[in-house]
Amino acid sequence: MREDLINIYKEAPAIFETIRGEIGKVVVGQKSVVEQILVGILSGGHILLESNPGLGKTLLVKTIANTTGLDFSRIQCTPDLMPADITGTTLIEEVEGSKVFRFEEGPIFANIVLADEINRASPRTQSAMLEAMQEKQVTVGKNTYKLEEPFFVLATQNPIEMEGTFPLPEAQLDRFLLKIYIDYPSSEEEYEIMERYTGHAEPKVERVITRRELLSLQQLTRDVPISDDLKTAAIKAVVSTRSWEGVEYGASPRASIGLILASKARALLRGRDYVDRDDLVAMAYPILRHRIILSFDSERRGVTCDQVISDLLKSI
Amino acid sequence: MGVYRLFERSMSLLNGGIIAVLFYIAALFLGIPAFFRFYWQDSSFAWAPAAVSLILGLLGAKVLARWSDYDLFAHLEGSLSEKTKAAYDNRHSDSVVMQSLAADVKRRLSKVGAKDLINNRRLNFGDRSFPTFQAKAGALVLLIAFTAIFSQSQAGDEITPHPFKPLADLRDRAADLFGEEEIPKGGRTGTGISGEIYGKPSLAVLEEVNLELILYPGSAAGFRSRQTDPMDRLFTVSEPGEGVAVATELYIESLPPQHREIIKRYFENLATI
Repeated sequence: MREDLINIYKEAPAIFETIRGEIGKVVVGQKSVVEQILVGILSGGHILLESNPGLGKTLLVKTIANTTGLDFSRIQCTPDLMPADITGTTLIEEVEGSKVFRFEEGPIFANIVLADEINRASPRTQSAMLEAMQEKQVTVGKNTYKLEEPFFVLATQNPIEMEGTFPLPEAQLDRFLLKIYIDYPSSEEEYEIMERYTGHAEPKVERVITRRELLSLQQLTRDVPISDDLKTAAIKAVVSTRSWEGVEYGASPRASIGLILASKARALLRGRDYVDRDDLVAMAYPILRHRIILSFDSERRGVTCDQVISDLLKSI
Repeated sequence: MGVYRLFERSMSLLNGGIIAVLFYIAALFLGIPAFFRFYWQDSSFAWAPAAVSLILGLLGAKVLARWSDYDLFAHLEGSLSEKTKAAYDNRHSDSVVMQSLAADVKRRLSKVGAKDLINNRRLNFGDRSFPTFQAKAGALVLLIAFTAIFSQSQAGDEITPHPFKPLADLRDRAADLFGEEEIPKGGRTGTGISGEIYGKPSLAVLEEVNLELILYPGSAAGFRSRQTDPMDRLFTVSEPGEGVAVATELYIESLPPQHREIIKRYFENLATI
C-alpha cells in the first residue's frame, strides 16, 4: 500500500499534466477553473459552478468525468424533479412467483454526479441531496445505502435567470467545498472554440486515471504538510468573516477545514510537497465566497463577496 | 550554528548597550550623575548612575530578546523558508509527502551557512536596507559620542571653577585684605610644621621659606598662614564652636545662585550635627 502511494506520488505531476492535456483537448482556456475543479476532486469536496449560459459548464464536468474513468451521471434539475428521481425508489418485483421489493438506484449512485441547474430543483429535491452530499449515503424508507467512494456532486447554476428558480439554502451551500465562477473566454480562446466545434471531428478525451489512482491521490492530498503559521492564518481568515464589516453571516468551521484541504490539493497539483501562502490566498475565494452572506447595506453599495475576501486577506 | 549564536549574543549586547546609553542620557538630562559626583566625589558611589544604567540596559536586552518572537525560518530565502517551516511543524509525520519534503529540505539546508542567515538579517528603510548589526553598532557609537559630549558640557557646568568663580573671588578678596600674594590653587602644602598651633606663632618651612603660622582659639581650622601680625578686624571674636555669622553670609552671597541653596543647607545640616 505504501509502495503504491510512493509510486503514485512520483507519478503525480505526470498524471496531472496528462489530465490537463486531455481536458485541454475539449475545453479551451479556463485553466484556473480546471485547476479548481481538480482541487475539489482531490479534496473530495463538492463543487458549485456558476456562470452565464453557454460557457461550457456541463461540457467541462463531463470531460473531467471522462478523463477519470469514474461512473458519471447527470441530473437535469427542473421544478418537477422529485427526490426519488435522484435517490432512487423501491420497486415491487416478481421473483419465482413471489413479489419482492427491490431498490432501484437513482442517478446519485455514481462517482461523479452532475446536477445541472441545481437552483431549478425544488427545495424538497435539493434537500434530498443534502444527506448524500454530507454523509455520502442515501436513506430510502428504512434502508440506508452507502455511496461508493469517490463521490462528488458537481452542480451548476445560472445566476441571471431568477424566474422559476429556488436559490440554494445556506445549509446546502455550505456543503459545497468550492464555488467556482466561470468567466467568458478571451477573443483568442473564443476563436479557438469556434475552430474546434465548427468542423466535423468532435474532440474526444481518453481515460487517463483510474479510480484507485484517484483515491491514492486523495490520500496524498491529506498528507501534504502545512506549517502551523498557515493553519493559524486560515483560521484567522475564516473567523474574521464572522465579524467583518458589511457581512451579515460569516463562514462556518467547515470553511476552515475546506480551506486547508483545498490548499493542500492545490500544492499537490502544482507539484509542491508543502502548502505555501499563495495556495491559501488562491483557495480562499472559492472556499469563502458562498459562505459569506453580505448585509443589506453592502449589497446596496454593490460590494461583492470577492471584494470582502480580498480586503480580509489583506488584513491577515 | 556556533557562529550564529555568537552573532545573536552580540546583537543582544548591542541592544543592551543602546538601552544603557539611552538610560544614561536620560539620567544626564535629569542631572543625576552630576548630583552623585557632587556628593560622592571621592567615592565609587559617584559611578552609581552609570552602573544602574548598565544593569537596566542588560535587563532591557533580556526582555527584548524574550519579547521578540525570533523566527529563524524568516531568514531563509523565499520558498525554502515556507518549506522548512512546513517540514519542521510536521516533523512527527511519517507520510510519503513528508518524507519527500524532509529529504529536500535537508539537501537544501546543507547549502545554507550561518553567514547567509546573518547577512539576510536586515533592517528596511524604504528602498534601502542595512544589516541590522551594522545599523545597531553605528547607533551605539553615535549615542556614546553624544553622551560623552553632553556629559562633558554637564560636567563643565557642575564642577569646573566657572560657576564657583565667586568663591575664587572671595578668596582673592580675603587675600587682598591680608595684603598678601594670591594663594595658588590647591593651597600650600608642606612638611616641617613645628611648635604650638594655638596662641603663639608657629613656624612652617615651605619650599625653603619660613612661614609663621598662627591659629587663634575658636577660629577653627582652615585659616591661612601669614607673615604679619594678626589682624583682629577680620574675625569676630566668638565662643569656640560657634559659627561666624558675618563670614558665612559673605560666603553664601558669593556662591553661584544655583548652588547657593544646597551649600547653605549643607552648612545648616553640619551645624545641627
